Amino acid sequence: MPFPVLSSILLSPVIGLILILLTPAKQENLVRAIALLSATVTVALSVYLCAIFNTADPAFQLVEHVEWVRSYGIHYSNAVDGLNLPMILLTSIVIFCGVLVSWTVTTRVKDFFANMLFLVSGVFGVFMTTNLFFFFLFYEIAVIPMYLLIVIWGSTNKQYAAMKLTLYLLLGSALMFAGFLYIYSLPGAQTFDLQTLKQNVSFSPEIQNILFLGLFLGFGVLAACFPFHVWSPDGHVAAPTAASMLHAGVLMKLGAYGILRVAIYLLPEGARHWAPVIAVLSLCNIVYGAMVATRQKDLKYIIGYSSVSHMGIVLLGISTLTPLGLNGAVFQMFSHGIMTALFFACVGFIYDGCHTRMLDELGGLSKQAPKISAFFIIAGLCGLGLPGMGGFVAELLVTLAAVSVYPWIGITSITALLITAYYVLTAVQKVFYGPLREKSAHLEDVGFLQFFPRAVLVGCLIYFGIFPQVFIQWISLSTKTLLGA
Amino acid sequence: MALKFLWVIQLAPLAAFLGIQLLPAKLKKIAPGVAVPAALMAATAASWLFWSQIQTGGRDLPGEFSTPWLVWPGRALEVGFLMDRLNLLMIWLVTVISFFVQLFSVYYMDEDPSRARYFGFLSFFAFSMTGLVLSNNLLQTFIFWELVGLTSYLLIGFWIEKPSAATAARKAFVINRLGDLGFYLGVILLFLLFGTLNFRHLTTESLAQALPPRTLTMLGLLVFTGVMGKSAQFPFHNWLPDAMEGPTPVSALIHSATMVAAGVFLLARAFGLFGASAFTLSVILTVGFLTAFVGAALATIQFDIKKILAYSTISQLGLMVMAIGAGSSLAGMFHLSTHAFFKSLLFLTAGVFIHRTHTNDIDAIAEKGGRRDVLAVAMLVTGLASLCGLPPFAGFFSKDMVLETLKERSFLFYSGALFVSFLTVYYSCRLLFVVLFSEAGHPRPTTHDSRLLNFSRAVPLVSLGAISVVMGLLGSPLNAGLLEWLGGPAEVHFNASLFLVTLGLLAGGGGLAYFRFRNPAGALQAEKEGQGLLLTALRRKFFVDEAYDFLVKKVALAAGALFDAFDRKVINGWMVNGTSYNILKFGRLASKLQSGLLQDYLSLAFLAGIVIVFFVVL
Amino acid sequence: MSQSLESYLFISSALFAAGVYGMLARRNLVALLISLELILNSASLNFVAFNRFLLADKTAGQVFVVFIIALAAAEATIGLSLILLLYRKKHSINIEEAKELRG
Repeated sequence: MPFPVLSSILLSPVIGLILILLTPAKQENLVRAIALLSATVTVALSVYLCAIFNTADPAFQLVEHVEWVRSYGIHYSNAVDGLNLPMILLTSIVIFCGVLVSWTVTTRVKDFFANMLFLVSGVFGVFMTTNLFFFFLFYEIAVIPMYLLIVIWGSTNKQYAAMKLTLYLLLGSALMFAGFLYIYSLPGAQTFDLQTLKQNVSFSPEIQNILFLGLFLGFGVLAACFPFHVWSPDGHVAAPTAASMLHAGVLMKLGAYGILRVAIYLLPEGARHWAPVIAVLSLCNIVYGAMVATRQKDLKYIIGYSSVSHMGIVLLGISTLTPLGLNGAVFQMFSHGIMTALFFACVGFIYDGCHTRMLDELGGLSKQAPKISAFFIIAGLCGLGLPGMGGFVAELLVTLAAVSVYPWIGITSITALLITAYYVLTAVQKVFYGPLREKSAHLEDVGFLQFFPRAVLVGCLIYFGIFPQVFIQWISLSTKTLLGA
Repeated sequence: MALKFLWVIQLAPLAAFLGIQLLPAKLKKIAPGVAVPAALMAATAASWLFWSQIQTGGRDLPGEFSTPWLVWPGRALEVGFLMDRLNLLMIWLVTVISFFVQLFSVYYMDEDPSRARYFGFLSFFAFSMTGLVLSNNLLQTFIFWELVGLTSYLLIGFWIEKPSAATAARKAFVINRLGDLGFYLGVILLFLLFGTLNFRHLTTESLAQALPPRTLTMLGLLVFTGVMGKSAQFPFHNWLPDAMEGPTPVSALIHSATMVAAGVFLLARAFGLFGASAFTLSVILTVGFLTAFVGAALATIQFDIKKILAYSTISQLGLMVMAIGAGSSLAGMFHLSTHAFFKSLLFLTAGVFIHRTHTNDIDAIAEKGGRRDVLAVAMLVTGLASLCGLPPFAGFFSKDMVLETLKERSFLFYSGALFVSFLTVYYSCRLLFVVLFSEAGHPRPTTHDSRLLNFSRAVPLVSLGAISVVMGLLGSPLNAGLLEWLGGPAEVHFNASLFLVTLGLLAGGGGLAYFRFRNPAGALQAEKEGQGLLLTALRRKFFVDEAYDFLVKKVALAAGALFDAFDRKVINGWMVNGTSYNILKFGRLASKLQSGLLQDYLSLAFLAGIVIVFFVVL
Repeated sequence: MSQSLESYLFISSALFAAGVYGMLARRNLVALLISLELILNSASLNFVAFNRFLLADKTAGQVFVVFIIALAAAEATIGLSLILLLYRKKHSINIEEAKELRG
């Protein structure tokens, strides 16, 4: 049997979690070290996974299959293809940087890192599994630690936000699970295995339409699709830094990934039926989210709404149902994940130093802390679609696809480039330029330990912005197969 | 072989940028020692390349290097270098000016503690501008186009403590973005409809074959909006005067010679696209004229030396755009080349004055003895003479060529351009006379600058002045080498009537300025306090800023506020919290049944039992 | 009265009614417990009676009755201990004192 890379990636945080639980709570540095070690292992394994990934093979690779409940078709089975490879890489990078960024957490350190690792093992599981039952199971695993992370370590109206987020996510998962069970009950199904379902079950057009709608709503809640987006800015704001990074960087991607992996994969006809509706909703996300962001006063809310806007680009790419658009969508999922993790890593640092995130109370930071300012500005530039970074390529691909499929929606979505530039630069101006304000005066710039994770994120953004072909090569065959083209 | 040099030109500034970023904090002050040699290397490589191609008559031209950048089934986007006569000239111009400006910055930024950041950005600008010029396709041009916009943003806001600098930087970026939306859309549509973005395929004939005329007009206009943003064409011109918040050498390099000229360069580069539609060309011509007029008119009442030069840049860019709109990219490029040198010269001269007197105000500069700096005044005269079109300075030949082109195209625009030239002479002489004729005090005794600083101040000034003169002569009846290189006529005929018209303009404009500014103090006072419709309109800059303010604050931000309220009140308040409120309310209602008294539950259960029995049994 | 099923059922329903009345009307928890015993006894009586008159096998009903008696004993134990606990806390065994679970 070959080395089970995927299970190792999944087990690494689980083992870390168990070790942390066994460590006495007073040994804070040991807890941190264990968390970092397990995160490092996931990164190393993900990079190795990218290296051994065969870009010429459109099918599932490195399949790991363990039969569990045969009569109900519930199996532990993992596989990787072009859709989840980048997501696994993204998750491991974000958790790695998240652990380093959380080095400064001092309250209940053991519980914090335990929750982080628990959360991330759920996320890895969702991305890897090819069994709908496990998909649901891992998804639920990812939600609960998020609630705890926000309620215990969060800020700003945290109980409200945590409850809202959890209820929304569970609403999404309820819809999703209902859909899964319905699929299970269809004649010829009686299994949760994705590939078997795809081969054995023929969905009639009516069923496809209804089922796709249900699944899309379930996943759409998670992807912050308009009008189900309000949980996400509130959640981003309340969560502690590393949780925001995981939340915006990875958790929101679960929804978009689910749409691709389950909804479009199983129900292509339903997808075609609803695609124009998705396109309109995604346009609302893009423009509306950006417009709302212009009015926010709290730095985290600005990023929260910019996430809504950027997730709209993912949805727009998906709604085109062309290989180009899907490539763009997956690219955007990756680059937005990295970018927004960087954003939150910077804002969290500023908040720790200045004890405020209000635009009007900050000012002149770039003199005080040039490195963190540079990181934030780089993230901002990626957000406004500056060429040379991942965000530009993703938006270019999505726009190319959108303009050719839905010309007017595509053209209108371009205006977001202007609005985004406006609010990002306004925020940058207020926070980093101008004379130094009282509250900003005590901020000390990042040391090496805090510099490194942010630099890693910047490196990813720029690398994939300059060499997008590396990325496109991973995904393009899979998106093509997904659409049956 | 020649293409290998392009890599040097392209990557040397990038290496300098990265090198400066990697310098440890203690060594940051040697940043100029990294940036200037890299710029010199790029300039030398470009000069050698240019010279060798001239020697061989462009034997290796056009050369192309291209590699796929983004490939997906069926389509591919490429990146690469295209080297032909047009961009060889441009790349030479960019690298040379960039080198001189960086050299000058050693003097100008000597006292600034953040000069590592400054030289880093300047190197990055050189890299992006090079990429823009060498690009072989429209998308790559767009990519670097945005990157030069970024460096412009960063350098305008270089003095981060100044709130006005940050505002100006944001304004520059956002207005450029506004134009770039059109450019971006144009690129996307062109790619989707035409299938390639390579400049070599964007010829009028192939475009006309592939696409209907109305589509071509639309595409041309969309790409032209990008040009309008970057080259500060009316009504997107108002970011450029504000951009003068940046350090003066930056204004010399980015906001007069190279980046703002990139728009004009793009017009010439993708002339096939614009030339494919007569309507597009006439729009370009009209926009160019409006810009030239607005810039020149507003330059006449500025008191800030950099603002005068900025409005003059706007006006000159308008002239170049007009020339191209009239169908002659040759004239546009010729004027671009001469203008790049004499305008950067003028800005550097202004930089000397500002560095000496610590003020931008022409009145104050004169008062503090600006005219006692002989070299600076000499260069000011050289530059302004060129700007006015005084023979035999460079501007004379290039502007005459523009005027000649316009005369052939339409008399209306020709006379408009003449009026603009008249205004140009007027504001140039106004500037000169104020500096020369004011009561001059003695300048602050300057600490004796070191030899290195003197060198880095004088060499760029003299070299730029000399090059600008030579550039002009290369398009004169004596020798039309430059025009011939660009594919123009081998000989230029002396146009006597135009010569006379030019002399007339010079005499008229200069005379009027002399008449008004013999005694500058009083005249400036009158301008500052004067009333009247024209003066108010000029002072308020034709209300363009107010219009933008209205659009941003009253339209865009108001819409944002509306959406925000909708998000908070309707979606969050009504839909989300409303749902949760109603569920809680229902729960509270239902919990009324739970009195906590055992016997109430029992009676309820008993009652329910009876009811069930009643219904089931009977 | 002849020994008929009806007479047993009559007695048992009287017991049941008395038990229900006691459950609903009394406020004393011990009285409630006694009423509960009455109801259980009425059920036991029903079992035995039905068994005696309607079924061939005479043991089944008696088995259930033994079950019920055992159950009632267990229930009384738990109930009385709960009442004791309540008394310790509130110094009263009035049912109206115990309404912490109201909504």
